Amino acid sequence: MKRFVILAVIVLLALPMLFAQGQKASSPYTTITWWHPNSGLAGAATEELINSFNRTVGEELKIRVEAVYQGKANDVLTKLKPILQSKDQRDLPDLAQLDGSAVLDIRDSAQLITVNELAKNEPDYLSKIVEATRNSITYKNNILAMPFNASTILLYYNKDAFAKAGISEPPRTLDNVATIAAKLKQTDDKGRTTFWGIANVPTTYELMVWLGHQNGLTYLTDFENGHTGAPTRVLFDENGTMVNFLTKWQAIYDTGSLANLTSDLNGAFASGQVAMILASTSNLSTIASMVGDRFEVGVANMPMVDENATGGVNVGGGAIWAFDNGKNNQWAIWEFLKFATSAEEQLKWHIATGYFPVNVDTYDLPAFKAHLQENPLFGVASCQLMNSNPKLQGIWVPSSYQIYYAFQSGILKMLEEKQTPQEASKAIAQEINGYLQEYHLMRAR
Amino acid sequence: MTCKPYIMIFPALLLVVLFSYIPFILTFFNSIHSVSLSGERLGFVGLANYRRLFGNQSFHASLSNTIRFTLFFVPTNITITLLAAVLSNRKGWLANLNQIFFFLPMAVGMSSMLMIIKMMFNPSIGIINRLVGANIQWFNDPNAAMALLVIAGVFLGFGFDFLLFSAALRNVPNDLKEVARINGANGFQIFRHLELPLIAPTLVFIIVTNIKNAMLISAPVLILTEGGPFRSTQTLVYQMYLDGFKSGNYALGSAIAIVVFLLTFAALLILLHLERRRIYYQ
Repeated sequence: MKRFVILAVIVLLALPMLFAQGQKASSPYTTITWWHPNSGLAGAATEELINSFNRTVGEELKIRVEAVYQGKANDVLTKLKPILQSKDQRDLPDLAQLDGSAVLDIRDSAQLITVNELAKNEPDYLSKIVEATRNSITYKNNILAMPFNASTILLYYNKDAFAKAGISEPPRTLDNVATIAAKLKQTDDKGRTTFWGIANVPTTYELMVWLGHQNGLTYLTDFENGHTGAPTRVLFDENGTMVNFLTKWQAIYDTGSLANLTSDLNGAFASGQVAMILASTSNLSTIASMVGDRFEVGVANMPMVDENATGGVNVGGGAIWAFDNGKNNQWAIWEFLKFATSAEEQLKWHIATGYFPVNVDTYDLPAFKAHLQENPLFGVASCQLMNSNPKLQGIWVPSSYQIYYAFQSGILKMLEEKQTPQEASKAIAQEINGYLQEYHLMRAR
Repeated sequence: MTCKPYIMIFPALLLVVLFSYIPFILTFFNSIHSVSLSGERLGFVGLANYRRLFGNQSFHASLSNTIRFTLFFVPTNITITLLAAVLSNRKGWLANLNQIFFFLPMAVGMSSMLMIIKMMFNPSIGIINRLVGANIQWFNDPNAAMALLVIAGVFLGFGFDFLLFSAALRNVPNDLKEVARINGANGFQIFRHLELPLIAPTLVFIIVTNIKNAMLISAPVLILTEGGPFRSTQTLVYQMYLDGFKSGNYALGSAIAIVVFLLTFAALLILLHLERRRIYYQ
């Protein structure tokens, strides 16, 4: 019995030897790890990027990059947060690719290395990064992370259905959307709608644009959408942008051609149930392959709320964040980030995934122009962004899930319970203000 | 050796204290303090968290959704499992085969099962809409989404409850049933007046665990609907997860946890009280 106990203890103590102990000090390579959410086409492109780095610059400077797929962007954040909270920095990856919803959780972390810090010896490199993408990740004049997988919102439409209804141009404004959607709508003999003009229930993603681009540039919350401090209240009810938008949206609903779908919109579009949807540029390849040759897909700029709404669109997608895990890898991290955002690598990434290049030099490459000529749909996104106000940015707010539903439920309530746009705007603002104040309670001493 | 029982109970007690009682007390403390993003308690606020919670629209939705789910789920689940158990409670290899098929769902991991259900119910490419020949918007229509949750819940709970019912029905003495049959009772009468009273303790146990599971439902919500459309399937525990873990609002999350606990506890107390008066134990 005694021997058995001793044996068991030895086995238990020996077990940890089976697990990796991290890199041995004797290796000539500096290894950096990169947690990322890229799967499918983007996953293959990520592998390609890393191989290319490890073969060239990495080999020269003795850097090895290891990519670890950690699930969706949200999952990467979920796994990162406990490590940041535990204050045990050794477990941190050197790099993590996250989307905008991560900003609030990470921006104050002591382990974060901002891009300004990384680039302190080469600040000029940052001017090569497209301004709007830089702004999209700037907090209090500090670039928090390196823009990498940048996207915008786009209007996808069914070209065949447009042609059949005798419509030659995609809509420019929401008024156009209402007229066009009404023409596209089809019903069966019982009066049930079989083909909808447009499907959407606007929420954070759409409203950042539809509220933000009014009058050239409008902020949804104070502190410039949260980019200069933690927002304390929303502004869209005071400045009337929400009422303006809701009035236009109600008009679209009144034509009977708007489907209030919140889920599987790509599927509804591809299976020919709806003529127009709004989705990210990064969905382009996916939607095109889902549609196949059933009909011709068109993409166009996000419709403007009205003729004065000239602000364009904001940059979505994600960026790569750098962390200090005590291994002093800053120089290697910076080399890799420069490589990943170089003109050539961004071109390859763009062609493989549909995310648009974040390096301004990419747009001058002959290969980029050639690719655009062959795939004009890809050009719409970058063209749309280049014509946008670079100050138009996404919102950084706490309780993002609750705010997402506050927008959706508030708008649905207006449509179905016949509220006026004024009532709906006020109710949504009130609910969201509650969440913003909630955040300040967590910071107050 | 009077200390032996204490030594025997110690490991279990340690686990319970470490993973149930201490977290429960901490949760309660958090719910009456303001708590920072990194989880430190900032100051005592009394019932302020609860007051804000009860004024929160999202919480109203969660509360009504959770109660609705419980009201739909518990009767549906018990009717279906009990029916299956009664019908397959006979001799012969076919009945055995049926029983195996009925409790087989228990052997599948919950998450993988839910992922499969999600695919099956996809409105444009799923098999369910194809089979029923209708275009039901399972993830866009609030009522359909709630129905989907109930279906998923029944599917997940079916195997275990079926097993318990089957075991209880087998324990009903055969000679009693024979006596009843000789005296001219039909199948329904035997079930109503003989089997049902005898399996009542199991029935109560299943009702209690079902109510508990229904009040605490979160995994199917997380995987299938994420609370949508329009918060129509956001349950209390899912909101606790959103507020507490996704938004880092530990104080509000803890307050929700305490409310869920009190609600579930109250429901169970009432039920156990009824049980003490009405149920006959062999």
